[in-house]
Amino acid sequence: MNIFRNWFNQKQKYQPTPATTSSALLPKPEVSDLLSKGLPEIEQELRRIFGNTLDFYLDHLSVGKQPGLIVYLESMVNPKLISQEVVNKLTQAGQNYELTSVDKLKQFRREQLGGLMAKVIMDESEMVRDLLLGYVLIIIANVEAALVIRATTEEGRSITEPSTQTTIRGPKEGFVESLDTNITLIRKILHNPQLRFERYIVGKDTQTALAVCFINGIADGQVVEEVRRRIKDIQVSGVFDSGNIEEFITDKTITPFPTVYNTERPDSVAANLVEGKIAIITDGTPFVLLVPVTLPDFFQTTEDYAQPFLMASFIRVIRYVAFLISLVLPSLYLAVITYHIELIPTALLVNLMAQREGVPMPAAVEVLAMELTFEILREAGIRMPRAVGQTISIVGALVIGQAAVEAGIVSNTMVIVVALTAISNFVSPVYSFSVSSRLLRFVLILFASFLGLYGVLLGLVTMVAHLASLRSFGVPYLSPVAPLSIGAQKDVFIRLPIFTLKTRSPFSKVKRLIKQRNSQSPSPPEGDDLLS
Amino acid sequence: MKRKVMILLLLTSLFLTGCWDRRELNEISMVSGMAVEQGEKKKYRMTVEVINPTAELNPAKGTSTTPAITYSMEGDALSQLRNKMDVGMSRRMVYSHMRIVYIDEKIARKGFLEFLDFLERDREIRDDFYMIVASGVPAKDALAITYPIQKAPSLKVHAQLQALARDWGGSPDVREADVINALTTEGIEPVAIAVGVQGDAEQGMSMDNEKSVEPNALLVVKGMGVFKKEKLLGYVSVTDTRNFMWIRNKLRFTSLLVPYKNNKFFSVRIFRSGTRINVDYQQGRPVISIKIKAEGRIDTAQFNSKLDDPKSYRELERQTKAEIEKQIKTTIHTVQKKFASDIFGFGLILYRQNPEQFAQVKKIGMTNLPEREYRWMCW
Repeated sequence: MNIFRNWFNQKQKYQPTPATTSSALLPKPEVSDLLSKGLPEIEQELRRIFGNTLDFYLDHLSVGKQPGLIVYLESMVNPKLISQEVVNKLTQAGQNYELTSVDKLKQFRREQLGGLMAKVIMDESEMVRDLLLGYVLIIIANVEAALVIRATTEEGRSITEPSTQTTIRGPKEGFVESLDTNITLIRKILHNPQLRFERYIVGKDTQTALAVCFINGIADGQVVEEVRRRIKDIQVSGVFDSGNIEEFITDKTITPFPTVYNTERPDSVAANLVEGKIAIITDGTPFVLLVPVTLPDFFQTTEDYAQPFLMASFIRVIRYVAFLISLVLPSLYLAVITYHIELIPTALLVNLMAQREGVPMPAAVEVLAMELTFEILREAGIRMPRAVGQTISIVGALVIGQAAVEAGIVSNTMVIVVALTAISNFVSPVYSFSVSSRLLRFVLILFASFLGLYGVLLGLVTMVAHLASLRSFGVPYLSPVAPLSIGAQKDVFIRLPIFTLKTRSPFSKVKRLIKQRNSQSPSPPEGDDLLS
Repeated sequence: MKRKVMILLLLTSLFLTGCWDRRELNEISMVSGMAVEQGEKKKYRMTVEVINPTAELNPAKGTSTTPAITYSMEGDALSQLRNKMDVGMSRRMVYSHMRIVYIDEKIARKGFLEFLDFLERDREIRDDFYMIVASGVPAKDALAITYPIQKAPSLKVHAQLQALARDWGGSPDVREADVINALTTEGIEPVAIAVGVQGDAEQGMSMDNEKSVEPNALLVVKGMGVFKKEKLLGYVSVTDTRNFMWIRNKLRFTSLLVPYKNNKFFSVRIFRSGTRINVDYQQGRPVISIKIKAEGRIDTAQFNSKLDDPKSYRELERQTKAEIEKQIKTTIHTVQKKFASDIFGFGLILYRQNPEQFAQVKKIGMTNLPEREYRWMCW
């Protein structure tokens, strides 16, 4: 075990200790007090920092009689905005303002650029960072400050329906890759002044922006503080998806069960924020993380609350059943047909025996082979180019399904078992959760092949013990089932009408447990109907 | 450290116990029925019937191959033969789905305790198979009479007995557990289903039997065998079996034919009935009262009866009541006169109600009670 642990937690000792703050990781101007130098020095220094990159634009311009520099990254700015706003305003400035000092510059910003995202900065390193984020930098000779105006281009995917968590009824908007757009999407749902976004920069080489989002007054301060701490502790070279962040902030790494929720749906994030959870939005990915999370959360969708509660409850039960099927069906089948023949009803046994007749492999090998085949098919289906999409279905259905049975390599029932398992696995509303049953299924099959039902039970007991040991930011993973809260059962396996859901789970670590104190069921007016 | 030990223990458990009783479905033979007879050289001859699953399942193939195969071996104990069957057959025998055990008449008359313990003790054999006495036919032959619907003979008999017990009450529905219960309990004697073969048993054992609309041979229920302790005394008819079920309060449905007048009958389909037996003790003798409450509807009336008149209903009710009384009385008389065996469990009821008096009555014997001490109530 220790070998594994060392291998896991190995540190690169010979490296110098990483810098303490992320902004310090930026290329720092070598010359201090850069802004107090003359324009040629500033130009030289900026060109040194950015090198010969294609999209670096630097030009001389005059603001009134003052010579100046305009600098930006062509790839990050919107040229229309520059010609319309920046240049126009500067022309005015040249006529009406004598931009000879920092105060004058500030006054100009206040009077002419109010409302635009513009600021006057004195710090050189901030200058570089703003350039990278798509600001236009204007430096005027002999003024010890720079004016930055935001002119970010709006390149990126437009808002579409999410591709992973689709619903029939409910909002159809999905997150996109832009952090700002995503924040907008959440803010559009939660018109709450207590909604907070906090900005962090993570990734030594990517300088990715994160936003931690929570509702002040509902989310627990301690948990928020813990999220802040874990994010600040992240030492990583690049962040390309929220999955990278997830691995750094999760409570336990060696587990098939996710302890961080992820979603592509703004309404889901908003609903969870109202529940007191904390969202972490990562720039560059539509997947938003949510913590703390419990096992039942992975069986719920926002659509549950958009449907009549009877239907929602039924579907939720179906999801739990489907999870169990995808987890244990192959191993149960294997255990029963190889160890516990007496458990099968006689008529079914005759049926199964007739099908197994002539199958050359032991049932365990049959199960594993079919499950592996399915996993390969599934992976191929995701990775292959869209153009050859049909191939997989033909090869999968014909070759694996029909031919294998007809050739007598596998039995019909086995194909049914594997297919049912596979379909059940797709019922899970959150993709990252279905991974757990996918992995554990193989473990259970192994246990079943050695020990029969006893093995399956042993595996399940171990699994439940493991689940009970998991925590997500201090919240027990199995709550409110274990530890049990009868009151919170209204929204776990079934969903009662929304007006009955007055409190949050007592284990959910939120500041306000009461959600809606006075909600009550609708009561139509008594007496004659409204039409008369 | 704790974790290490736990993981080690888990791993070793795989190697220690794994796989030893693993049986692939295509490496077993499912035994569906068994027949026990007197052997010629040894004490017993055991015949097992195994199912040929492909033929049983697939009607198209079923015509070409036999749905079941039987094989007989002789030995001094059944347990010795249990796993020896592969002398003549293939694959490992699995007894957990055995539905039927036929006991030959000769062995039943001698007593079957000697091998009953094996059937009860074996870990694979269940205790809910039917105990059947093959009357007038070798048990081995009864095991092999084919039938076109349930092709394997034992499965057919099992379905047959279940349906008969449920819809008419003509089979006593005794499983092995019931026999053992009756044997080990004082105050009640065991019974067993009795079957015989109608037609030519030799022809019935061939696949050709399935091909004729009127089968050459059929396995039919003959009623039940009455035992005293573990020894068979004789048989009673299917109707008596129904009445026996009625007295034991196990009857679900039955049809009762009631004579009216002038060779005219009406019939009542009984769909709900309950029986309560009480044993009183009066003047040193037990008085047994049987109360039967039955509900039924008139199935047929071969005469012109005004069924819209409650009066005529009451008349029919009265007659039905009398018929039930007659039936029950006859059965009790037959059993007690002919066999003097307390299969109805009157002794058990007395024992439960009054154990001390039971000890006294036991000396006389429950079956020797004069008739007048049964009281009849019926409505």
